[in-house]
Formats: sequence, C-alpha cells, structure tokens
Amino acid sequence: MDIWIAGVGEIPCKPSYDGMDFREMLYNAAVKAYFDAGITPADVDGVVSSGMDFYEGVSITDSYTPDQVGGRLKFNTLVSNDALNAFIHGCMLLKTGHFRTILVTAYARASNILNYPEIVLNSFDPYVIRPLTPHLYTVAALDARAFLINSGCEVRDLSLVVVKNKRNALRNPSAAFAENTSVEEVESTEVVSEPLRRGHVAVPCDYAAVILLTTEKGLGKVRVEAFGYAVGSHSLDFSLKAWGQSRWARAAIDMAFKQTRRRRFDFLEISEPFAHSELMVLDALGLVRESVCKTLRDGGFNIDGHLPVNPSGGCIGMGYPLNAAGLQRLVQSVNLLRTGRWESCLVASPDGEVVDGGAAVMLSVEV
Amino acid sequence: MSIESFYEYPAGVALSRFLEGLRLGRLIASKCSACNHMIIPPRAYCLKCYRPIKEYQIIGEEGRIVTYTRSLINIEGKPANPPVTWVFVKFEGVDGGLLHVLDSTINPQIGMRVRPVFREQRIGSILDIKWFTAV
Ligand SMILES: [Zn+2]
Repeated sequence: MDIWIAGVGEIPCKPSYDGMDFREMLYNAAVKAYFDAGITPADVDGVVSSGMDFYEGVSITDSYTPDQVGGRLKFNTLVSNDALNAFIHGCMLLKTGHFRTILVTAYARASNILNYPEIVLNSFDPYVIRPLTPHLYTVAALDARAFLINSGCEVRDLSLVVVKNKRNALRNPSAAFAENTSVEEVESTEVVSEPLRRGHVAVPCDYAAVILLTTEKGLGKVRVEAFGYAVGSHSLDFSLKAWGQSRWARAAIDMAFKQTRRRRFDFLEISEPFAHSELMVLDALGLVRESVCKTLRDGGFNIDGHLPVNPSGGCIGMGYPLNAAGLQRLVQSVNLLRTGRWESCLVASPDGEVVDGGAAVMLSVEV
Repeated sequence: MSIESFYEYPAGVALSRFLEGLRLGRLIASKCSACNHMIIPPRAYCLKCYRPIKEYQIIGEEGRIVTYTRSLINIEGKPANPPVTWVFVKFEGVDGGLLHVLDSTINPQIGMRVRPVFREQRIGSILDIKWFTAV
C-alpha cells in the first residue's frame, strides 16, 4: 500500500509568536494544509500529534490538539519524541487499512520556556547526572569534541555548516535566522562550551506544522517511499552513549532501506540542533564516498553540490522548533520536491539535542 | 503563574549500592554472574543476558577520559566563572562510565588517566566525588 502526502501547512518560524496561543498557531497551519490538499476536515479519519509534555508545560497534549486541526471526535493519539515519529506512526496507521486520511501535527512554543536548560536537565538521570547540573551545551560539546577527534574534522568545519545553512535559509520565507554570514563571523561569537561557539547552536523558535497523509493516489503530491526509526539506545545517565556518533541514524536508515531499492537521494534534510549534529548524522549515514569533512569543504553539501544538505536552511537557518523539527524538515522537503528541481530526498531528525535516538523518512515525486 | 511540583524517586536496589559505595569512597559496578558483564553505574539486571544481578564489585579507581569540554556557561545560562572542565570517564574492563568535572588545574586530553577525588564529608551522592584528577 502506497502512502502519500496530500498537503502541508506551516506558519513561519519566529523567535516568538507574541499574543498567539499554540492552538491558534496550529489552526493557521492546519488551514493551509487543508487548502494545499484540497480537502476538508470531514475527509480526515484521525489525528496524530507530536508532543513532549516536558516542553509544553501541559500534559496530555493529544487532548489539547484535535479541535483546532479539524479532528474533533475523531481518532487521535499522541506520539512522543521528535515529530518524525508521529509522522511514521501516521503512516503505519494508514497501512493498517482502517484509515484513508491521517493528519499529523507538531508545534513548538520555545518562547514559553523560561528555563530551557533546566527543563532539559530534568530529562537526565536524577541521581547520577542532575546533581552535577550540566548545561545541554556542555553535553553537546562532549559529543562535538569526540566527533571532531574521531572524524578528523576541525572546528572550522562546524562553522562551514552554519554558513551553508544560514545562506540556504535566505531563499526560505519560513526561516527566522537566514543570513549571509562568514566563517570569521561565526568564529567571532562567544565560546559556550569548547569547541562549541554560540554561532554553532540552532536558536530555539516558535513554529507549527500540519501534514495530511493519505492512501488515495489521486490526492497524493509526494510519495512516502520508506521510513525507519531507532529508539532504545539512549541512556539517561549517558553511561552507554557512543560519544561523537549518531548510531540511531544508521539504524533508522537501515530499517528504511528494507522498504525501498533507492540508495541515492537528490538532497537531504537533517535536523541539526548544533552544527556538529548535521555532520554526525552524515557520518553515520555513510552516503558520501569521501569523508564528511572533505565533502563539506569541497562544497559537496552546498545547494548546488552533488548532495545538498539542508537546502531549506536547516534548524540553524530556520530556528530549532524542539520536537517539531522533524515535521519542519518534512514540510521543507515537500516544498522543495514540488519545485521540480529534485525527485527524491531523505529526512532525518534526532529525538532531541543530545539523545541517541531518531527517525528517517524517504520521500519522492514521480516524474 | 507557577506551580511547584515535588517528587521523590527511590534510587532502586542497584543504584543504592552505587551511592552507598560513593559514601564509603568507592566506585561500585554490577557484575553478571552468568556472563561476567560489568557496568557502572550498576544495574539490577544484566544488559547483555537479562539475568538478575546478584554481584556488586568495587572497581579500580583509575579510568580514562573519553571526551571533555571546558564550559563557559552554567545551567542558568549565565557565564560559568571560573569555567568548568567536564569529562566522561570509562574504566578498564567495565562497560558504562561516569560524567563528572575535572580538577580545574588539569589540562585534559582524550585517553588521559584520571581518578576520582572524594570529599571528606560524604552523604551518598555523585557529588561525594569532588572531581576527577590526573593519576
Ligand atoms: Zn549477563
């Protein structure tokens, strides 16, 4: 059974949607998705919401979601971690044959969170990690250091990722942090935790996105060719963490490869809460012949390179919408595929800044 | 509006052994009596063969730095003054490892041999280790 994306809707990333409630943000994204798909709420059989109560400060996010996306009195469920997991859950619901059209939602209200580092700290082990009070940048920097040493990349390569993504974002009207910047400018920002500088961090943002999935080929704009996910390798006390590696990405793509013969993609969209996150995922995916840093330095990941990565601008160029990052990547991918420039892409998104888990989705358009 | 929430998490059987070890100035790992897999912090069940853990062992204090960073930011997002060096340490023959801070006078390197420095007053907390220092 083929799964299609019938329509997408989003509201642009912003540092803050002052005065607007998250339900109103989602309503605006849903209206656009219905318009794009050419269907109405009456055509939707169920809703899958991506949510992390931790980030939202409310519990039972699924109970807060259906009304504003046209899902009242319909099947609805909540899937935690990155929104790609909610999207994949929606695909699997369709594959049961009990649904024809499923709506997937995700949003971020990063501007609501007044003490984000402490909220993230509360996701770590309460006895072994929390008393030490590491900032999430500290944990990310431990990853970045290990990655740079294992891969032979240099700090300058992290800055190259930032320059590429911020420049790509200049073409994206939904991006909040587009900028024609330079390596020197990125490296003039303050060090937060060596080797990471402030400029290597994707800034959290407010955002909402809705995707309509369907089994009706007539409604389909982009085909969901394959998907995979990896959970369970994350350890809350970091005791089993493979520092500097995104093992989840390899596991997720291996699962997806069982559903398709495609091994080459026209572009990649990878959620990158930090500059090194993108390189770590690329390293794990192993889709380029030469080393990741050599390909990066040679411009291979640029928008006109042989494997463009984050042509949308990524999270560094657009803003990092927490668990909504995966849906942010998917919406950009659908928009990019519909320009006619590319035919296939791979989307990958980790389950948080320093979590060893995540998911991957492969999309294509028929030509 | 602010709502305060109060929780108490029991440490559990295995982690209580670890915390009690710290109080006594020791590092305790769990050891599977079936497959000999050892891990720190200890677990109540074996991650390799899923059998219940019956053995806890004091391990050698000397470990190696797997990765490190010098943080200029604290948990409140404010400048860390002075900066704090963080290390992840693994121990020979033992799976897992510990995140902690490093003696501020030491210049860290990957692979550097380090050992924990325990505080005089200990209460059964990860903070009973003041920091790791070079061997
Ligand atoms: Zn065992």
